[in-house]
Amino acid sequence: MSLDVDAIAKDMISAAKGVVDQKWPATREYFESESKMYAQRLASVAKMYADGIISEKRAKEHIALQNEAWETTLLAVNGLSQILIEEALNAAIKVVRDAVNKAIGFVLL
Amino acid sequence: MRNRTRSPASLWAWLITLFVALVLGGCSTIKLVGDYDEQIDKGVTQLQKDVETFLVKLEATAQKPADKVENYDKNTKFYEDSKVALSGLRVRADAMERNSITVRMLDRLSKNIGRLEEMHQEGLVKAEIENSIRGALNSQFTAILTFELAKKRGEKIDDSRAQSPSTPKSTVEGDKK
Repeated sequence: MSLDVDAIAKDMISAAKGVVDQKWPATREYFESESKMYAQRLASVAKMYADGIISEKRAKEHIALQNEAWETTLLAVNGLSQILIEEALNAAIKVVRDAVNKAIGFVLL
Repeated sequence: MRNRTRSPASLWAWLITLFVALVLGGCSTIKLVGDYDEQIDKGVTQLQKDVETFLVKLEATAQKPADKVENYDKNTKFYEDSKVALSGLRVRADAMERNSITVRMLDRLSKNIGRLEEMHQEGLVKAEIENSIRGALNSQFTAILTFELAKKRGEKIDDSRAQSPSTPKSTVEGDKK
């Protein structure tokens, strides 16, 4: 049995990078889109206050509401990133598993 | 002060180290986040519809942006129903493994429904719904559903339901009616 560790390590990184390259753009797009919406809503709250539609106290309540929503978005980005890392690691693990099982001749891993 | 930012190289080194540890430990696949749950998906989707229906109904009770919407006293059932629905979703989410992010997101949504209730009790004008409340709540619903659908892993996400802007693009010009 022989295993080319350098080649396996290279394939592992390639497999993990492939997952990241494929899936990260969607997460980034989501984050960028939500960031713009958050900024727009903060500007809208400021305008309502400037126009005399809402009081200072109410404006602060709206900012708290918006910040809570923004934190929810950040939690989603955190979760999406964790799934991305999980999938990248599993892609790398599959490379090793396949290489070892092939070299050894039976399903070890 | 320590700089906690990881360079790409150190991130890869960290990932490979974690990988080796997992393989040596006999773990052939890893899972950092819990599984997709259809009940959470359907429950959150239904709650979003209920909230939107309520907001549209409230808006219809005022003419101009600065006009107050219908009193809180005539709308208490919505808040009661929403709290029950959110409580049920949170209990279910909390019972699932590796699901703390979804639980924390539901808690934040619950806080904002509470804020809406307090504002409504004090008196709410139509412009507040249009310019702030609807966008914030929809952003939260989008976040929860986007993450829940991503838990399906590998399955194609329905683009009409996730990772799309939570609110229609608007300007800061305010209501022009």
